[in-house]
Amino acid sequence: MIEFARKTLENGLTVISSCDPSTPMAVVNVLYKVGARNEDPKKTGFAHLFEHLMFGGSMHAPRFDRELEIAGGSNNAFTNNDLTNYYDVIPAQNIETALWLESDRMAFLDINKRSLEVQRSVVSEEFKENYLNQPYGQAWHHLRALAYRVHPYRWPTIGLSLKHIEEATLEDVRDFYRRFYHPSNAILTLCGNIKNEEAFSLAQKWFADIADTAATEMKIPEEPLQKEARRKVVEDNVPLDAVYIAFHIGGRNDPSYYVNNLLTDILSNGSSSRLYTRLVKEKQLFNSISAWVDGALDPGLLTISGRLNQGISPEKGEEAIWHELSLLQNESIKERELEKVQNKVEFEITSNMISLMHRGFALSYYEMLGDAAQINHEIEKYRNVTISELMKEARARLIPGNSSVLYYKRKQ
Amino acid sequence: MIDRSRKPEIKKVSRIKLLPLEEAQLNNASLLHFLPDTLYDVFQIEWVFPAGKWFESKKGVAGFTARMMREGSKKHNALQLATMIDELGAEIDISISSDYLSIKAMGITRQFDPILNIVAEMLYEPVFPEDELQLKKKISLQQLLVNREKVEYLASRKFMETLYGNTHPYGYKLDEQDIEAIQRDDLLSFHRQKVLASPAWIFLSGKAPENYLQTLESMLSGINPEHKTPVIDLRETEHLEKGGKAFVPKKEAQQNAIRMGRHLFAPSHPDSDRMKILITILGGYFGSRLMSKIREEKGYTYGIYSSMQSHVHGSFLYLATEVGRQYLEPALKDIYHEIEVLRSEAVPADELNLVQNYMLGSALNAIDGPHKAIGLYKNLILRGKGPQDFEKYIHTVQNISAAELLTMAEKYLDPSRLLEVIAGEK
Repeated sequence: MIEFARKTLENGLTVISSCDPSTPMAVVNVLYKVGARNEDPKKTGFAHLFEHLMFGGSMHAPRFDRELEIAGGSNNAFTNNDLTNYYDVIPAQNIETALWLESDRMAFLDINKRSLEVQRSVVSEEFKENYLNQPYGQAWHHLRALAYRVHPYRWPTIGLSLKHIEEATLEDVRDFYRRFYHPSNAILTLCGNIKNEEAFSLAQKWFADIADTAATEMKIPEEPLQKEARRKVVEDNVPLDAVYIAFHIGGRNDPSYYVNNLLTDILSNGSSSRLYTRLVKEKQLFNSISAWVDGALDPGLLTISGRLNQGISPEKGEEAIWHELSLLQNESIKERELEKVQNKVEFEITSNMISLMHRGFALSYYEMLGDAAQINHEIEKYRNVTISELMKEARARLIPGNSSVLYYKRKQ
Repeated sequence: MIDRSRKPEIKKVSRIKLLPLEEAQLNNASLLHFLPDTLYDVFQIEWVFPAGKWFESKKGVAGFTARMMREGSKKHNALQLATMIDELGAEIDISISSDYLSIKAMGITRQFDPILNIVAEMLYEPVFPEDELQLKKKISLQQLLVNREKVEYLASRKFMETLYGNTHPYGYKLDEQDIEAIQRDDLLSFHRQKVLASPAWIFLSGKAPENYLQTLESMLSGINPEHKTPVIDLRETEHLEKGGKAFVPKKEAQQNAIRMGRHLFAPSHPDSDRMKILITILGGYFGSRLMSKIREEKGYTYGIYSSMQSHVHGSFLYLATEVGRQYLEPALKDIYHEIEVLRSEAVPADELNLVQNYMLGSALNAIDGPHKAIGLYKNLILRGKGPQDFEKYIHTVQNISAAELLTMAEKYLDPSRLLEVIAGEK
C-alpha cells in the first residue's frame, strides 16, 4: 500500500507527496500532459525535441544539470505519445534544489537559437542511433502508419522523419512552451525522505507564483473504426525476415486494458508462454517472438512481433500466429493459466514499487489517468479479469479485419 | 514573489552508511550474505560461482552451460520448469560474466520455499538435453547475424579482441564455428567441475520467511563440493600493453561507433579510486567534459561515456560513443583534446566540488535499500574487498585534490597508449 497526500495549488498545479522515511533519498517527478499525440502532423517529433530543450537552462539557473549535480542529484526525462516526464533523484536534504530548478524551467525556460541548433543535431543523432542505423529500426514507423490513418499515434515519438526535426524553429518552440508547459498541465510528485507537510510547503514556495496560461483546447482526431485487414511489405538490409501484427484495442482507461494485457502475457510473458513454447521451441519457426500492449491513453495497439528463423517464410510464421490466436478464441483458457499470468503481474507490480523513482513516476501517471489512488488497485484489477472476458476480447479484437500486418523482409 | 536568484542552500552528503550485513556459513561451505527488509513482501537471492568465461577451456562453454541449466533437470523438463517458475510469479535469471556464473531468483516472500526448490534443481540437477542445446545453438547463430548489422557491436567486439587478444577469455566473442563446436559433454563437465565442485557465495535481500536458513540448509544438503570455500583467484591477467588503431568497415552505416580505452590495473590497485574520479570527470556523468563538449556544445552525438570496467583480473578504461558520419574526425579531435587538457591543466576547484558532490550523491543512491546495497556488497566481495574499501572510496572522493588527478591523467591517459576502434563507413 503506497500512502500519499494530494493538493492542488491555486494556479492548477497538482502536487502529490508520498513520504518514505526508510530512504535517505528523494525524488521530484514532474509530468507534463503533452506527448507526440499533441503534435502538428507537419512538425512531428516536436514533443521529444522540446524535452531536450528543457535541459538548456532557465533564467535563474542557466545550467540545469550542473546545479542538480552540485547538490548530489541526477536526472533524466522521457517522452512518449501521451506525456513528457522529468525526474530528479537527489539526497533528501537537497530536495529544495530540485524544486527550485523544476519551477524555474516551468516558468522561465531560456529558449534560444544556440540551444535549439545543438539539440536539433543531438536528436538527429538519436534518430540515427536508435532507428535509422539499427536493423528493424524503422518497423514502428511503418506499422503505425499502417494501423492509424488520422490519429497522431500514426507517428512514433521520435517523429516521422529527420526533416521535421531539422526544420523546427524558435517560434515553434515558444509556442509549444506556452501551450503545454504551465502549472495546470503538470503533475508534481515528491517522494522519499520528506514529510508531506514540508513537501507541500516547499511546493507552494517554489511553484505558487507561476501564472497559469489558459489551456488551448486541442482537438485530437478520433481514429475511425478499421474495417478490413491491412498489409505492407518492406524490404531492407536485415538478416532475418520479421513479422509484425498490430490490432486496435481500447485506451488505457478502458477496463479492457487489463484484459488485453493479460492476453499478451498468456501469449508471450515468460518461457512457459504459448508463443515461445510452441512457435520458438516446438515448431522452431521464430527466433524470438513477443506480444504486448502499448498502454496508450487513446485507443492503442496490441502488437505481436517475431523474427523468423532462416529458411522460414513470413507467410508460414504469420499463419502460425493466427492459429495461436484462434486457440485463444475457441478453446477455453485454463484457470491455472490465468492464475499464472496474474501471479506474474502481481510480482512485477510489487517489485517495481520498491524503486523510489518508479513510485514518483507512477503516482504522477495514475493522477494523469484520473486518480493517483489507482496505484494501489492495479493488482486487484488484474485479479478480477475472467476467462470469459479474455476470450470475448480475443474474439472481438484479435481478428484479421482489425489487423495491420507488416513483413520486414531481407532485401534480395 | 519569491526571489529565484537566491538558490537553496546545498547541504553536503556527509553520512554514507552501508546497511550491516548478516553473514552465515552454511553447512556445505557456501557463504550467505543477507540484507533483510521489512517493507515489501519481495525477496531476491543470488548464487554466485567462480565459473565465468575466465574458467572455460573452450570458447562459449560457460555461457552455454548457464543458458542450458534451466532447460531440464532430473525431475522436470524445460517446459515444466518454465511453467513452475511462471506459476509462482517468479523470475529466475542464469547468466555469466567474465569471471562468474550467477543464478538469481526474485519473487514474492510467501513463495520462498517453492522458488528455492526450483533453483536447486537447475543448479544441482541439470541434464542439458541435446535437442534443447541444438535449439539454443540455432538461435545464437541467428542472433549473431543480427548483431553484425550493428556498428556498436562491431566496434566493441573489435575493441575487446584487440585489447586482450582473441584467445583471451576477456577478449574473444563467439563466431559460427565456436557455436557449432559446443557439445553436450562440454556443458556436463564444466558444470561438474566448476559449479558442483565449488561452494557458492549467496546474496539474499528483502523479506525472507522466518525459516529461510533451514530452507537453504535443506536445499544444500547432499551437495558436498570438493573445495571448502569459494575461492577468488586475484592474479592480474597478462595483457598486451599497446595502443593503436583499428577500423571495422560497415557499409551504408549512418553513424560511426567509436570505442577507446586501455588497460588499467587490478581492482585492488591503490590508484583505482582516484582513477575512477578522473574517468567520471572525463565522461562519467551528464555534466562530464565529453558530454558537455561533444553533445551539449557540438551536437555530434546522442551520448558519449567513459567508465572503468572491472574484471577480477584487471580493469580497463572504456570510452564509447556513436557519431554521425560527417562528425567522426571532429569528434575524435575533441576527445583527444579533452584528454590532453586533463593531462596538462589542473581541474578547477568548482568542477572538482561538483564532481565530488555528484559522486557522493550517487553513492548514497547506490546503497539505498537492501536490494541495491546487496549489489554493492556483492561487487566488493567478489573482488576480494569489503565494506572498509567502500569507506575508503568515499574518503578518497571527499578528499581528492586537483594535483592528484593531474598525476593520474599523466600516468594513465597518455594518448599514445590508447587503443582506438572505429566501426562504420569512412
